[in-house]
Amino acid sequence: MEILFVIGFFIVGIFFGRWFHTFQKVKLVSEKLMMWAVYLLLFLLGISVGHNPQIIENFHTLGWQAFLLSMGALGGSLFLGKLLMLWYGKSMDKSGGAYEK
Amino acid sequence: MKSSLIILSFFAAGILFSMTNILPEWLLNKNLSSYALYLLMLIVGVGVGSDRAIVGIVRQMNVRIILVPLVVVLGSLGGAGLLSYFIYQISVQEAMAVGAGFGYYSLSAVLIAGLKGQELGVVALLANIIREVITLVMAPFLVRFFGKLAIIVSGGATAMDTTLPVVVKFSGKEMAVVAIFSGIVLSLLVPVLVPFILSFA
Repeated sequence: MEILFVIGFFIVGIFFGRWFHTFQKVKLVSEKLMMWAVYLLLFLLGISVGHNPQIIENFHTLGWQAFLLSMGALGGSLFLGKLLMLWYGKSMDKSGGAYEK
Repeated sequence: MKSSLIILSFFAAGILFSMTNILPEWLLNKNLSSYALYLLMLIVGVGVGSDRAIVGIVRQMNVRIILVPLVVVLGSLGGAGLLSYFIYQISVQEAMAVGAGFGYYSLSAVLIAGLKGQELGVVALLANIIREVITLVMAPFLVRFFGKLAIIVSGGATAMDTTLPVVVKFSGKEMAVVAIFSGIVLSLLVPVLVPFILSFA
């Protein structure tokens, strides 16, 4: 349910943004607001984590899980990136990426 | 790097404050986080919708340049999903959602914490910070062993801002455009992919 709300607000936001896109200010203000919303949410996450002894006690376990997952994500990306380079290698090297005009 | 420290200090401040017990009870209300998350998603949407540069970027797409962020999506979800078999507390879908942060730890962590719980939120925060730090620190080695695209794909969403300087330095100036393109596409995908993947968890 919550997931639907999250996606719904995102889509409504996009429509709002398209509607007001001629006002350059909207973009600037939304960037500032987004930063502060992220700060607020991370602060709130910090508060609830601090109140949750289970998380504090298991912090090293969570750290290891995070390390493993980031290794997986990095390894997978690097491996496929290497394959892509082998595939298109020459042309990407010369043209500065797949960005020919 | 400076902005990363600011972001982290808000998280750390939250932990410290909650330990001192001087905060009012209502700050712990779970609804407050939910409303803040909805507000954040609305603002992110407005930012995306009002950004004309994004429309320009979509127009410039061609098959080959789109392969770069695609590789990051497949590699990150696949790699994180694969390694989740070694972590019995985390399901494949949850691991993929963490991988779908693409290094954009602030947004992915609060999204995952809100939708799936604080514990996975903390894992997402740490995992995606580690991704950014490794990209910055290992940049020259990554280029040597995995080629010119290495820093861009390992940096993920951060290739457009925090890890862009090391892309320019070690992969070359000509790779900057690819880095920015891939970083923007991946940043846009985070608020879409993370809730989508978690809806299967």
